[in-house]
Amino acid sequence: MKGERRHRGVLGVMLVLAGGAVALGVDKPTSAPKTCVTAECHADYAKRAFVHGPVSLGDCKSCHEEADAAAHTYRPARQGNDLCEYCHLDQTAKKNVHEPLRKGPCTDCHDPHSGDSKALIHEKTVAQLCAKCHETGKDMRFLHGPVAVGECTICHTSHSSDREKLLVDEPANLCFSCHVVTKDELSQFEFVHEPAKNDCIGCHNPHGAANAQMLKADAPELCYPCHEDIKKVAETSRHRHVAVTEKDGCLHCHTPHASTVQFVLKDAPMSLCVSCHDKPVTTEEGKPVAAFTEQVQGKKSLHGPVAQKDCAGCHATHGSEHFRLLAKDYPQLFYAPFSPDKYALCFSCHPESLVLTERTSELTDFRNGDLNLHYVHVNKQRGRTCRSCHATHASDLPKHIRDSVPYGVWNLPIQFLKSETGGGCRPGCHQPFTYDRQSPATYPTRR
Amino acid sequence: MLTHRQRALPSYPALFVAAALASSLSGADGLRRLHVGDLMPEFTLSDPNGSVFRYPQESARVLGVVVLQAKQNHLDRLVADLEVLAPTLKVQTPALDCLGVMSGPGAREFLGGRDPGAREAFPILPDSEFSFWGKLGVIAAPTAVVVGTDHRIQWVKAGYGYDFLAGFHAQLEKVLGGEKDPGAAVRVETLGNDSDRARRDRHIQLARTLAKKGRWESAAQELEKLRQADPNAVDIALELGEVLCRAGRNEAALETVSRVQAASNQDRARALWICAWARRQMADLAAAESLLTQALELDRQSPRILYELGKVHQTRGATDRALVCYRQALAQVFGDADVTGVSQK
Repeated sequence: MKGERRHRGVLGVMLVLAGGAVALGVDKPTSAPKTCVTAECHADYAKRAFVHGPVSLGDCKSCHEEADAAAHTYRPARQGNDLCEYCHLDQTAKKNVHEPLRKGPCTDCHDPHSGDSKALIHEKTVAQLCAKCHETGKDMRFLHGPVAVGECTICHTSHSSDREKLLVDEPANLCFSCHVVTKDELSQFEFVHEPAKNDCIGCHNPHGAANAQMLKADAPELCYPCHEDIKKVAETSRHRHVAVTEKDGCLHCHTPHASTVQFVLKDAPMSLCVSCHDKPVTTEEGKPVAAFTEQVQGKKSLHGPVAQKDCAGCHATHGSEHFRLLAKDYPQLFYAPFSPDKYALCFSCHPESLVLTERTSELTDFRNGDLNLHYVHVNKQRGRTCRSCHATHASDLPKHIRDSVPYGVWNLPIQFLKSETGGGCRPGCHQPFTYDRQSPATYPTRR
Repeated sequence: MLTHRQRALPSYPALFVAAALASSLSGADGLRRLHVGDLMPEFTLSDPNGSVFRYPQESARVLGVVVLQAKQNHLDRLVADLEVLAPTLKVQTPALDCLGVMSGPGAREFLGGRDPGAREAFPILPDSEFSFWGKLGVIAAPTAVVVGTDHRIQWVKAGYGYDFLAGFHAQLEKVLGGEKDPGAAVRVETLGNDSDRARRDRHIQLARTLAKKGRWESAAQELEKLRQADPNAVDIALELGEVLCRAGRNEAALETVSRVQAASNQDRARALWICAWARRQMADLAAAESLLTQALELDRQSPRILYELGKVHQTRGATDRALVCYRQALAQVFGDADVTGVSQK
């Protein structure tokens, strides 16, 4: 059936041309000529920009054989695809064959004799030919370079391929054949986003997209299908981080391809955070968050994670069940009775024993002799806790001790002084006390 | 060398904070009782199986120790990372002790659950009574300490931040005699392909692919677009000149390449042989030969110039002279052409 169709197609062309010759008043030969491409007959075949090899050699018999010389009729030398595959077998030998080639004659796309376009295609360009079936790029705002310039065959072979989508190479190799520097440099980065290694089309539409960089969607929606755990945290947490959930959220902090640091971060964590928190901001719930920079600027003593520029030491950057996006429990109210659970955040780096051990000479330097003054402070009905004495980010006093504590509308100064073997304070909350690790101070007995 | 590596450029607020922090790093080294440069105190710890580790040992060895606690953040992830890192370093040099110390309650339970392979890769010794913790004056877990063969503390870092492991690795390598800058190991760089340079490289590559497929006009169009965006780019103009020659657009090639203000001898030579190529195709063989002679003076190693000169001679019918040039060109590519026999085939 298919063979007949092809046969009819080629025969049709021949008959038309033969008819054309009659119409021009040229007597058609009644015996088989050596070649048909003569000045009198089929000269036009050889006059176009691109001529099929056998035509340029005048070797019509490569494809045609005589049916009836007297009637000047010819038939294809071989049936169906065999006609072209006799020479162009390699074009159809691969696993996946282009639909038009599998179903229809080669002449659907190619002129068998000559043409004005390379590869004797019927259209002026490859893109125009492909567009007859494929609406690639339609309504796309951002087009891939080869699509934009109409060079479909940069990525796809027109006839057959062992790869899906008739790709000319494995997908990753294909992308890296143009993005060659990206490939070279990916090998130099320790932390490479998994899709960047071999699955570019996981994130990018290879033809084009409504989004810049031909992304299939805007972040964070683009990222969520793989990072479902982050999606859950980002969208369902009690306290959400707008920087994650807003448009392009993930890309504020993460680079999509590779980085020298883990989590493919774009910069050191604190630098990323202060790109927003250098000024007061308002949470999604409308609560104000003070500018971080003001809290640390010029301060003499920094909390460890601040000194290490690692905000993620205490904050869950994607979302949290705890206020201020804290990673674990930490009381929101300044005065809260102490319990280890309420300060789980602090105890994720500092041992609970630090405050639960009454006598120690190892755990802390805040002791009078071996009396652990952390223990003394927290084991009271009134909430004297971590935050009562330590500023969370930074202060001017050693060990980031607070300058003052709030008490109603007052701010009571702590006036902490550190010495070689101890220290002391003259706070508003109790009488002045000193402590010494080597020569313990004597404290009045409480009733 | 083209590069798309981008040092993360700090924003103004980031610089501001960095400056603010630089002046106040009192707590940055992470130990209460010891500091960088101090002698590491002696210590003895035994693992749950009774094996004893003593420091210092008889021979001079580097020590990398990470103080952990059972309830710390991301303990499993950190230990898994250290189990990969420590054997790698030990392969490089056996004169290294890389181990963990788990202080406080919960240590024995955690350590009891480790499999033998993990224990061997990165041994962790219990410090249930905080004696090691107290000896060093550790404040928070994890804290990493690197000690040199002179028993002096070289580096301390507390907190499992983004650069904890990379920093520990780099500092150990440095103390073990590595030449890499440990600062570079924790410097944040990203692969950015949205820079002008990256975009330009992609279009050049696309043009080259088009050229390989014989789609000269399309390749030329790509390069023309780039040249319009950056009229002074030498490499683009030269690339375009070659494509135009291949497309037979000799006048255009000459017009493009003759404007090039090349800085290097290699680029000047390339400009000259492209002009010569165009001239040869325009049958101006004398001009082509003259240009190629100039080009050879600038770049005697270029097989492309020798090949082009051979083409000029061949066009003139001087086959022997052409063969000499071709052989010289092949010798540049394959070494001694007569040895390889390539030029004789």
